[in-house]
Amino acid sequence: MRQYFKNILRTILQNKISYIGAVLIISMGSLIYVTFSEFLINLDVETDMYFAERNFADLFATVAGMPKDELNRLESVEGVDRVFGRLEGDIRLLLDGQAQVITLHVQAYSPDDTMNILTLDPAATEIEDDEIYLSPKIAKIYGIQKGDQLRVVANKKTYTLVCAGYGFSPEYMDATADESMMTSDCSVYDTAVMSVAGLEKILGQKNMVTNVGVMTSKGYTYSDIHHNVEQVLSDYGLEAICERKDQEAFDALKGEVESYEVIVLFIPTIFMAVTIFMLYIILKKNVDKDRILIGTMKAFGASDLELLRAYIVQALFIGLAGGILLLVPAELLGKYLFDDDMVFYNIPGRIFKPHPEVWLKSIGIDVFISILAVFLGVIDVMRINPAESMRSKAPAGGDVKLPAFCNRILNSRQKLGLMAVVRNKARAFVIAIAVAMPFAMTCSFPTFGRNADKGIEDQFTKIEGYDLKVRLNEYIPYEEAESLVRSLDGISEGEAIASYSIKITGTNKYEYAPLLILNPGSNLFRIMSYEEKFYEPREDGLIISHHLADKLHVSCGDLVEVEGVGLTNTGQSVKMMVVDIVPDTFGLNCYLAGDGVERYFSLNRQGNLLLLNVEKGRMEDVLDQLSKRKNISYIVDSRKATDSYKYMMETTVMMIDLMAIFSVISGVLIIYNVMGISIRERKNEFGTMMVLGMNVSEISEIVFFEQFINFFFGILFGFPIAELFRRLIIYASASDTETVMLTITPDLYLVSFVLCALAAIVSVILVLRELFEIQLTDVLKVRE
Amino acid sequence: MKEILRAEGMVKEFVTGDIVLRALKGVDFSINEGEFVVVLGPSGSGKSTMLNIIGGIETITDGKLFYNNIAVHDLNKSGLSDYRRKYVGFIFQFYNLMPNLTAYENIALAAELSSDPLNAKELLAAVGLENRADYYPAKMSGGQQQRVAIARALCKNPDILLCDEPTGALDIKTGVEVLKLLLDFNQKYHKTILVVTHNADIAKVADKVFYFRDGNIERVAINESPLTPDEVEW
Repeated sequence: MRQYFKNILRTILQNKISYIGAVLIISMGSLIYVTFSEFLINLDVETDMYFAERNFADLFATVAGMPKDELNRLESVEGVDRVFGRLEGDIRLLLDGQAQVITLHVQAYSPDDTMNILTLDPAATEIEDDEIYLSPKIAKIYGIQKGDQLRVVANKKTYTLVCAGYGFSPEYMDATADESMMTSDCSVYDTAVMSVAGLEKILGQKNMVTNVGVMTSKGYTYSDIHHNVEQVLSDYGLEAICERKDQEAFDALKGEVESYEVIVLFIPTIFMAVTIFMLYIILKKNVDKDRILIGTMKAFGASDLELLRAYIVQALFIGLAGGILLLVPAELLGKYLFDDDMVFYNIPGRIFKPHPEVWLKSIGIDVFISILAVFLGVIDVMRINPAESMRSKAPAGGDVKLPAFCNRILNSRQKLGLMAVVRNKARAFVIAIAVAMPFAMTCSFPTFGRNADKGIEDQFTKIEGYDLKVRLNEYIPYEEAESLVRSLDGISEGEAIASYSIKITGTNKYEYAPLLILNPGSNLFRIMSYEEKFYEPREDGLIISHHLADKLHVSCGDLVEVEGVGLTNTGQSVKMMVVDIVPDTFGLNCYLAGDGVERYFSLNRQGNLLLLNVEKGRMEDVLDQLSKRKNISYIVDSRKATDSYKYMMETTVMMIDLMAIFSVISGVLIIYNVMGISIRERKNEFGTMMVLGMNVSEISEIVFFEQFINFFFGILFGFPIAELFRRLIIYASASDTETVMLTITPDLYLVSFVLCALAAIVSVILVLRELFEIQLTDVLKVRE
Repeated sequence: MKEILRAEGMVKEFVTGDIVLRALKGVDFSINEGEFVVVLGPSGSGKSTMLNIIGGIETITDGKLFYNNIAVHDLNKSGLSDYRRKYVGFIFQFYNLMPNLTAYENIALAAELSSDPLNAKELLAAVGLENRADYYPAKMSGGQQQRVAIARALCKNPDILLCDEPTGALDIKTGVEVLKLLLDFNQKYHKTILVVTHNADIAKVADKVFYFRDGNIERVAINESPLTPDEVEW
């Protein structure tokens, strides 16, 4: 069969663009698969190792203050193996020339720490009392170097500390201070590490802990112990308690891993499906073209298997080439994403390790997909009867007549084009799908990047419409907070609200979530769904995020129990009705109107957040006024926060944007290939038309009209496929706390349409130019 | 009779890499309007190349070819396309019908290309296929397909009908029928017909025979009393 292989090799060379296209599309699917698989495996394995090395606790609790020597009360709880306590507190960092308030959340370090162990860089066992290790992010933002002297304010006193290096905490990979914030803004709030003695000294708290970690005994889980632990800690002002999986840093990391897992499966699957489709078409057409040859080979005694083997070997090479081509870029991209995430999550010392098993798996999948596609394409080889193969095939469309109005309105060339469509429905369908897929991909894939940015922009324009959010050190009466706003110069609009960290319990589930006490009719903080429907906060019950409702398994009209420091007495809860559920983009939020505080909690309304809109050109002045206030914890500048949130979404957006670019490339390849193949296979037909005297423009008119109809149906099919992809991307990218609502805007449809139309026009022009170069005499020698 | 085609020193070379193949080596001929000309010769002698050049689907390397007063050798691509459309009809050995069009539609397609076409239905009936009008080429026998191809070529009402081995793929009986159709057209419409074949018996029905050998016309024979197709012994 050497000669037969040679024939197939020559067929490949004749259709090299199609084969290169198939290899490229496979390799793009592989690139995504390998990149994100390697990234995820490393993220998962390395962070697991990190948490294990740092003795990450099974239970985390925050209390107002607990004497260190009373920690042993927890050890007597059944199921508790070990207990650890740490003092933590906020201090203000004063930097020369910095108007804004910068807060450091400082954790006390001891070389004897047994849980949630901090990492110091450079490593040190002992820390001097006046030394501080900053998070690398804030150090980088303000250019703080080792040995720099830093002025800090704690307990209304100023101290001078020396920056001794970088400090990393497994609990604060992403330091968010405010329960209403989605992620950190390291320019105003970040973590730091000091010695126990040093921190105790500046906070004025001796032998106290504020953060508690518990390891469960073997055979016990969080649910076995948390109730009893809660009871003990309630004596010390329990503010929050959660198990490891819900711990903020841990949850953020693992949530990222989970959300990517779906994408890793979903995106390469689309590319592989496209590859199957494309290879199937190429091979099917080749087999159609080679019918006579295959029939002749069979007549000479070649078996089906022998003939199939030649094509399967070809598939093997395509799969291997596709699998190997972009392995190196995939590896580099995976490493880049991993390193970037390690910086983002403040995880030190982790090294990206290649996983050859992923490469092999990817190559294996590519080869399998390629063989499957080729097999489906050439399965007809087995059905070819040597005698029948010597005759051409009749169109499958049957005796379809054009409707009378078509005969009236179309000229003869257009009728020919139309007939080619209606009498070759399978071919027309394939071309339509070849248009529909890239159209759907190019209009749905870019939606994520755009909508993620829009979601963030909306958060800071339509929902949180302030310029500055000022967090106070403590809750103060609402009227006092309002007068604080009024006392500031340069404020065009301002109001006070409050945020509480609450434990909210549904039927059987509970969550810790922020409760925002809002002002009805406010322009500075509104409740808005991702469909841009606004909700007014209500005093007769809670409005909660759909993410929270899902987690608690509650719906509108259900009762939930709410408890929280500053709202209810320890261990007591208040029953509240869920009056509405808002399908919002970010977070697990609860909203209540100001008057609801008194109604439900029998408390006077308080405030701990000031929302301010600053008059034009007065920002520096306002920040200066605020920096002089002692009771301010930190200030969020909404413009900076927008950038910070965008950074948070960067990896996912980048990934989906990469898909969008790949989808455009593969779209052009698919359209060019499938249209090209469908036109090229009719070389004889067009050659005969030319011999009959049709000129170039007439044949072009036939082809363009035919492809226009195919394209039109392709775009029609593309709409539902785009909608399907849109929903799949929403599903794939959604997490427990985020749902980016994707909208395919008309301009995206238009851009995709133009792209596909250009690809189609260019494809047809290129193929026609190729056709018009053919020797008519060669065409006429070929037997149909 | 009026001269319709004239060739002067017609040369055709095919270049493949360093190899130059001279298919026509200075062919001269003259064909009059309404003549039935048969071009005879062994395979590879250049007869099909000459036919293709006359039909305007091949260009010449050197020499001249005139159709009436039109210098075919000077025509560019679009001029050749126009020439084929207006004056030439083609019949091929392997029919080259449009696979997506029925028998009738294949003929009607040619009619749409002509400013003075013959009636497609009448021609379909004339080739005996009126009951096969809605058949696709793949559903017809070789003889039927060739008859459709003839009807298609005639439908354009061309001045010259060029036939490349029109009976080459057919049995004797069908071959005779095809030949009759061609002669009918020649006589009824007084159209010029050139038939390229290696079947010497067909030459007996021709007015003029070109004997081709090694890229040139070896001799031209004038047939004073051509036979009818039925009289030819195949």
